[in-house]
Amino acid sequence: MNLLDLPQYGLPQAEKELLLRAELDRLTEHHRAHCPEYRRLLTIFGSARGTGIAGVPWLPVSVFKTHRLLSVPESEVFKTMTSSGTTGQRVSRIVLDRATAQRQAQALVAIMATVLGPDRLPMLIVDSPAVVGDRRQMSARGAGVLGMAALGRHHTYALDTDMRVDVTAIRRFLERFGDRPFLMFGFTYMVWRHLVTELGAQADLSRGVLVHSGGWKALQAQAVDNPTFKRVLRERFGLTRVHNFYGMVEQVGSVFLEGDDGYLHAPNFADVLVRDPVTWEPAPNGTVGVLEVVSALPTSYPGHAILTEDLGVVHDAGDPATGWGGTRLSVVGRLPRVELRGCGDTHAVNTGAAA
Amino acid sequence: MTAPAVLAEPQAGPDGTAAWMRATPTGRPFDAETVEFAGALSRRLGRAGGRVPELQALAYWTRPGEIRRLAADFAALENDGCLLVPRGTVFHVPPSNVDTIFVYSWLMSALVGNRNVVRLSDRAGGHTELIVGLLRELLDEGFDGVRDALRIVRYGHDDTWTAALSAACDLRVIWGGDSTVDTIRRSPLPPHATELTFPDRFSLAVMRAPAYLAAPDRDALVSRFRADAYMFDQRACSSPRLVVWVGSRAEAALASEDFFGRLATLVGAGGYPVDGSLAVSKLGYVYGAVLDQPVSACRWYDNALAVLTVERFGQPRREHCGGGVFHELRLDALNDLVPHIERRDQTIVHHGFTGAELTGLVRALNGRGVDRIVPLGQALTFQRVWDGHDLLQAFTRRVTVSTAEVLPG
Amino acid sequence: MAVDKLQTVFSETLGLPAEVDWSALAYRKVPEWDSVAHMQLVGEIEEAFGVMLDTADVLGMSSFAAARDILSKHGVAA
Repeated sequence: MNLLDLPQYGLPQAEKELLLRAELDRLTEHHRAHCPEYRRLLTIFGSARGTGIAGVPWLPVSVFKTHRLLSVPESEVFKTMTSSGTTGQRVSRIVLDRATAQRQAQALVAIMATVLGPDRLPMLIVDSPAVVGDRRQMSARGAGVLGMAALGRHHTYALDTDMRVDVTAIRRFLERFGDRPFLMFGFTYMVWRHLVTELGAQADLSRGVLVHSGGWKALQAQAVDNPTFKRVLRERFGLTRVHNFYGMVEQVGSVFLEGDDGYLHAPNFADVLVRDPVTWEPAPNGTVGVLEVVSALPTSYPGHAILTEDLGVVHDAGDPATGWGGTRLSVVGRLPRVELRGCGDTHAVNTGAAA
Repeated sequence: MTAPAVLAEPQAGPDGTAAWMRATPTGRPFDAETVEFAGALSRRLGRAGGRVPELQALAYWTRPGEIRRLAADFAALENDGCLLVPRGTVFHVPPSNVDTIFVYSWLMSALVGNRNVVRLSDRAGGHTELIVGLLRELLDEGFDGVRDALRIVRYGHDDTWTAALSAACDLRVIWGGDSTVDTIRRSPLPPHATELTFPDRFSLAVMRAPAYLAAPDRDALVSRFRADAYMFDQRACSSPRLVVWVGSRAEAALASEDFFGRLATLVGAGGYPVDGSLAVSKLGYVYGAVLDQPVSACRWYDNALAVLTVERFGQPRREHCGGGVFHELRLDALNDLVPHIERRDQTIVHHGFTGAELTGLVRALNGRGVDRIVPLGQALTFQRVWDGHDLLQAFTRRVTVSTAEVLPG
Repeated sequence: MAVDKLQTVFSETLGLPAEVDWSALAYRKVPEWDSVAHMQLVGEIEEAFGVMLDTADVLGMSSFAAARDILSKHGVAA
């Protein structure tokens, strides 16, 4: 695919939007033709919604929690991804065929090559081997680790099966590979909790490239934001190449990677926009709203334009000349959950007599 | 065992509270002190309740005039051959997030002379604190009889408490969803005890389209419907979720457009708050409903109002997001509703039908479902007959007295 | 008859049964070859044949036949 093969973050925004819109329109027609549920939604909610990326019809992400949508015959289902969720929460079920899974994997490689280079680097995984231990029921965290694993070699887990820092494993890894570029991957809160607070300043990670994801919610309570996170890693381990990314199981491969400017950047084949949560129209740059993510990757399920439940801000697109083009994004966090009165397992009656 | 008592003897654990339940004497129905207490509560709620509709509604319901009417209704149920006496101890399990329910349930029971134990959830909301505070104030100032006949305990999921209180009560009243009823029912009752349950329900509005279109003040009708639907974020059991138009296709289309257009304006003008999270869950509901229901059109007015037109009755009773999402259906005649009504259906708010038509509907339903049929605007008005139970009767037992000698056959 | 080295690597790493239809063997077509095993397989092949597979090879090694092609691209007759 054109947008996948071109150097990432290298297209001027206007040109990229034209190319991407054309891909997304093709996907709209593909899913309309092959997914009866998607076709029905378009019939009811309409499919022509104006120009630009915002004009592509979108689905609220919760549809993937309530319905299993697929645009390929059941026989071509290769694997089903599920989102993480606490007990009782519904999780998304995302159906992949071989082609979509392959495209997602290639997309992740194309994005990560920007900060990792073309070679598979020795890889230190800031997690426990147990996270991929249950192969029958892979957690979302385990799937994330495996998704990144293809980018590395000599995979070494930084934590033992009891989730304690494995100092010996880390030391051996650094003795062997620590003098050349190496890849580190982990979930943001795991990196903070285990590497920063447990490992202490006994490791030289100055040749490492850390790629991390998973959101800041767990760290907000400790008042750790991205600048703090990066400063502490730099001061403690000499680790300066740190890249956060934002992505979701509903659009695996389409991740928004933190550039040298500290913003998350949209790759060629994906984009993000912010919708005003009152009008659902696109919100101006710089205002907080609900994030909608679009991706040219999914052909096996109609998830090429998804309204998320995350809040964020979109800024002016980056300059391709700096190596970091694409829409620039800051994620604010999840939409806060409110408890409604009289809802769910409760019973509301009365009042109103005086009205 | 810590004693999670809010209003109880100090350190009274489940067993102590149960012992009290058995020992305290019952009161006389509508005795002067309890009636006076209701009036005092009403005045204090009226002042402290501010502009909170449900607190003002509770104040209205507990005012002296209303209590007098209740006393008269009670007296009318009795005669010299059939007397109503307290059941004994009533164990009330109100819902965790409708803060006023426990007062209706307890006060009705207290007025007819019962001892009462109220279990408040540890998740109970802010108005509960306010109400309990007012009760404490009042009971510290007097009303010893009322105080002695009431225990309010607060605990989370604690089977020890539920088991002890259930085993010692004469009547258990469960307000809550189906799963609460299931959970509480795992604790057995004494053989003689009875139970009232108020599980999940579904409610609807039925309007004759030409009658609505001919109404002189349609905004007033719409305003009443808004109170029915929005006061509890459309999540009360009595909040209508389905609007049924009776009339021709053309009449229904006209009425619907006019009605929901006015509703959107009115709700917008009233500033009904829909935050991003609720809006997103409404979007999710609407998209899901299009896939699961016979929806032929969706009108998304704004975040506060969406209308899903369905061509057949479908399954509108599924889990609902609340906050102003309505299913809409057209029927040729009122009685075409009959085959669709289920046991779960509680309230019909209506406009444009005669009393005879409505009683005809009830006769045709013959118990399939529906417990109350009220005009627009009264969906949430608490009544002594609720979910098919006359609470004055349910909270008492009938004792018959006969002096007639039975003659040998 | 010469033992096929690549088949041996596959058999031992994935723990395959004695009878294997090598022409049909593909990633996720058999329960043994899942995403965890895939990374082990990549490591074992690199070790056994002294090659360094790049990311495209890792992603492209979707069947036994593809693995042979990738190795021959690296100048290894497997």
